[in-house]
Amino acid sequence: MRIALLLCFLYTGFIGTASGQGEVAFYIKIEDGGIFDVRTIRDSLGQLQCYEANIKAPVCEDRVCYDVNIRFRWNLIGQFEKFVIAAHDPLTKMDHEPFAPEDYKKLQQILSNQDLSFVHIPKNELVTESDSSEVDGYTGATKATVKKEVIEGALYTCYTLWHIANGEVVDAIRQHTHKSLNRDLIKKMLSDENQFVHYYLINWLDSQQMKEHIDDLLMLISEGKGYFSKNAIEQLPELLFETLSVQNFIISHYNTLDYYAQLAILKKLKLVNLGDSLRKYFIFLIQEDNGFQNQRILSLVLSGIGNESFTTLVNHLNSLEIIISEENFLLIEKLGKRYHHDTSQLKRDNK
Amino acid sequence: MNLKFNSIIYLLLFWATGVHAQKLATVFVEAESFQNKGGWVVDQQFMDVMGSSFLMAHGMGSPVENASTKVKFAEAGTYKVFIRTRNWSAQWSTKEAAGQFQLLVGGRALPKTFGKDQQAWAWTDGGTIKIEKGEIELGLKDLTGFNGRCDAILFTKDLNYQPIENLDELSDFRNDYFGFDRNPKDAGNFDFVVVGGGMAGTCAAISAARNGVKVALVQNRPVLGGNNSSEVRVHLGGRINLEPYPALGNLVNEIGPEEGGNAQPKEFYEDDKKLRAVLNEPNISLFLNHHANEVQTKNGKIERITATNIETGEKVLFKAPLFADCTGDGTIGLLAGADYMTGRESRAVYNEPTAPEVADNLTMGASVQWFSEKKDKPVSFPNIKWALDWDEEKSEEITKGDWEWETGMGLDMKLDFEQIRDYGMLAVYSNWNYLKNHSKNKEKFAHESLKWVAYIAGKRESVRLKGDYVLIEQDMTERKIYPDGTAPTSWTIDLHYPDPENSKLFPGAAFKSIAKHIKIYPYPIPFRCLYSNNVDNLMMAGRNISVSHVALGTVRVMRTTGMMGEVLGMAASVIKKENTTPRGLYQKYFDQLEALMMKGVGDPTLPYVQGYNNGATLMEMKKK
Ligand SMILES: Cc1cc2nc3c(=O)[nH]c(=O)nc-3n(C[C@H](O)[C@H](O)[C@H](O)COP(=O)(O)OP(=O)(O)OC[C@H]3O[C@@H](n4cnc5c(N)ncnc54)[C@H](O)[C@@H]3O)c2cc1C
Repeated sequence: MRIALLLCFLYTGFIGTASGQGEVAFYIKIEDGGIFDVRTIRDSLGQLQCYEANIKAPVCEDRVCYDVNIRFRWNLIGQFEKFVIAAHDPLTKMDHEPFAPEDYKKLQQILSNQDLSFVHIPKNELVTESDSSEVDGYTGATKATVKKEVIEGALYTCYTLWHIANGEVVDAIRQHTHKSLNRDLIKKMLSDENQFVHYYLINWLDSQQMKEHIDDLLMLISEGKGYFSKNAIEQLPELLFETLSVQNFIISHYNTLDYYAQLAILKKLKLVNLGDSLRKYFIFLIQEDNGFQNQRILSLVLSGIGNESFTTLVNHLNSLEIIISEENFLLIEKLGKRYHHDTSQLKRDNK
Repeated sequence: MNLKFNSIIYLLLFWATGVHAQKLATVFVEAESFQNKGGWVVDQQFMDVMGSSFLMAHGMGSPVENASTKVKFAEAGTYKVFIRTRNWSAQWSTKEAAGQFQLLVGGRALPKTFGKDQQAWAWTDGGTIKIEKGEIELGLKDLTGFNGRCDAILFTKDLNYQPIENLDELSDFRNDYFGFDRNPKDAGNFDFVVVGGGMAGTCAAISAARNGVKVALVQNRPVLGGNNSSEVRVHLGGRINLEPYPALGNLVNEIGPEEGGNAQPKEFYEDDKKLRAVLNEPNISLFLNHHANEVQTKNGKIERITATNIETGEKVLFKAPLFADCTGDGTIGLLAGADYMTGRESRAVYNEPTAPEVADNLTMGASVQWFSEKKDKPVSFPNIKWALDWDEEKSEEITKGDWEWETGMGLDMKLDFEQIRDYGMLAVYSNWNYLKNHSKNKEKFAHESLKWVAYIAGKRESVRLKGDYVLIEQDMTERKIYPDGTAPTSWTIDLHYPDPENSKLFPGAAFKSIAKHIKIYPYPIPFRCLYSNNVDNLMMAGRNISVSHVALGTVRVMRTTGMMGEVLGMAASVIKKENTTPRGLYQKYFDQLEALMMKGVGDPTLPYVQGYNNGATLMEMKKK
């Protein structure tokens, strides 16, 4: 059956300062034919802050439940933040029993959870007729797996609202924020604590914007949790790795970054010119106990190496008796001839 | 399946008394070799402890169908009969015995009822019987439906015969009788022998095979999947396709069930999907129903392992330059003399915040899961006398026992495992008996009928084999990432403890648990945790890898153990190609393994079906 989502202008609001005004940015059509407006909310400086929508929707198949009247709020990257309902118009469960405080709490958890399985079940399979011992809702019994995740007696409410909160609106918000990105907004987002926002930035900023905000981005990279640093480095345009500020950053932070971020840096640097100090830094990073990266670093410092650095390198390799892979060894031999440098003492890996 | 009818082989034993020797006919029959098992099941879980696999009448309260077999007697005459059995419920109750059965000879029951005498495994005297020469049918008739068990049956014309109780001597006797040790079957030469066919071992075998390695996969059950099989019914947990190797997990996705849930109907676990995937690999020789229990080493390397067929008792030899212990129990490592860890390390050992002040032997427990189904008509359940003491407070008014029906913490997951499994079952039956026959709410359960109770108990932790590195809590919570990272573990550090409420009701013998979680960022498990530090050609995947007790809290889930398996298979191919050892790979050829991990081994074009039971993790973008 069709679910009609109606515009609701009657809303008086319970959010405090952000009073449900805001300008309409776009509207979202629901697959069942309904529609709702999404409004932008701005902070005191007039900067984009978040998105809101008032939603009125029937939440059960056979329309015996009351419609819900609810306001949703999303952050700048479309993550669901919270909902507000009017005191005179509470959410209800089966038999029109109003939500208890813990039901509201649970709903908040549900709407902001991306790891639920019941939301992936087609609507018409949500309940199983056979399992009639555990009645929930009007049409049948919820599957056991579903039961744990939802509010008892409010399956369709949870299901419908989750899909509204986490459906098409998410991408629309991301697009809208993207269009709105300006220097100040980017700055503001860079200082956000939410790592998803950081991921958004490294995926959506263009080269110019990255260049403009490189210092803040480097800061995020140095503090990044999980695989953020690696991903951010991979997203930065090569050209930036030619700049002194990035090369200096590498000198001061390389050792504290995790292994995969380090690998990402080595990969990027292969595509650009190394400055003298960065090359020197990497030469001395070649150490006996650094077996995994030695050959990678070696092949990096060898590319485009000048006579002077080459001498430093060969002396260093000799003094630490570093074992050199076949491939790098051949390269060094060739360079040795070019720079008239004796490389016969170097240790070649004869595996 | 190569089912030889060993039971029809008979042998004349030389009964030597002093200088006089007389020949007395003896017929020895292994119950697990019965041609027709009826409703009885083969249980091999404790064979390393009590000496053999056996037949068990797992009827969940209804006597199971008779098992039967044909046996040839070369001589007519009066025979004394012994059955190796036990009264399993005697350790908890002196009232009646749970598992009772009779022996049928030529269709007629011996007067003796078995399974109600001694508590420990031993020969029970069954009296004497006259037997005609020729073929005769033996049968096992279950009387109770509550896990009566029969290991072997012995007929002898020596009426003064004292059956052998000593396990080593009994094992020699069996081997001599059936002629096994003198003629062990050679399974052939392989590049890589994988022992244990859970998610870890199955993925290891497929991954190796697809990377050009000739593999033998040895699994001691008739199905693959281990805890994720329909015999144990635990659903896959954790995440796949994660940084830094997003292609890892494609094989888990390929062979893993599409639907989640613990203790669900059999079909949920898609045993066939795993089996088909293995059978599709020309490079894999699959040995189902083979329990590996002997290892021969030379100069710190495993030369060969021997496995016993759990039905025929026949022994098979496997030779290879490389082995993987995916048994979950570290059995191959232990037999090879590998260093290992067990119980909980004290805080002082690794400075782990979650470790206890003082080390102890607490492991996470094992589970006998179960569920009931609703019938149209009321269904009765025997009012059992041997149940644990039960009352309203203890009663759990539920129709399904999930993961938290967990017991045996603090006991030995190998030596005490029969007791642990049996106690798990006893708890299920005791509660069910109460609900069906005594509870004030018994009407609510009148139509409920036990549909499934596991008899293969699910384990979470036994021993952990020591590698060149031992993964610890801080590696993950403080993200100390090592260059030899492989499969990423993403489940919480999820440690189980006896449920305090349940412990109050059942002091020292809780059968329910609670879990405590610490979220982590997906963390790549170092390759050095996946091979033994002192057995040069032994790798491991699964819950027996080189981690602290605390770190086991996250790595043990099966999407993760499956990915470890994927890595092991790739490693096996590099090790073969470079003719090196696992440590050699780590030191010299890790870049090759890295390249294989980037590439992945499962079919990347299949739809992603592993969206259930992913578990909580610290924020990270999905990568695929
Ligand atoms: C009740 C319960 C709930 C759990 N919940 C989850 C969950 O939700 N998600 C999750 O992913 N994990 C869960 N776990 C943990 C997980 O199932 C275990 O850690 C599992 O053992 C890991 O898989 P594995 O491949 O290492 O071992 P297993 O699945 O134990 O496989 C090992 C296989 O090797 C065979 N074997 C053993 N010894 C030998 C031998 N000597 N010779 C031949 N074969 C042998 C065994 O029969 C078995 O089939 C749970 C465990 C339990 C018990």
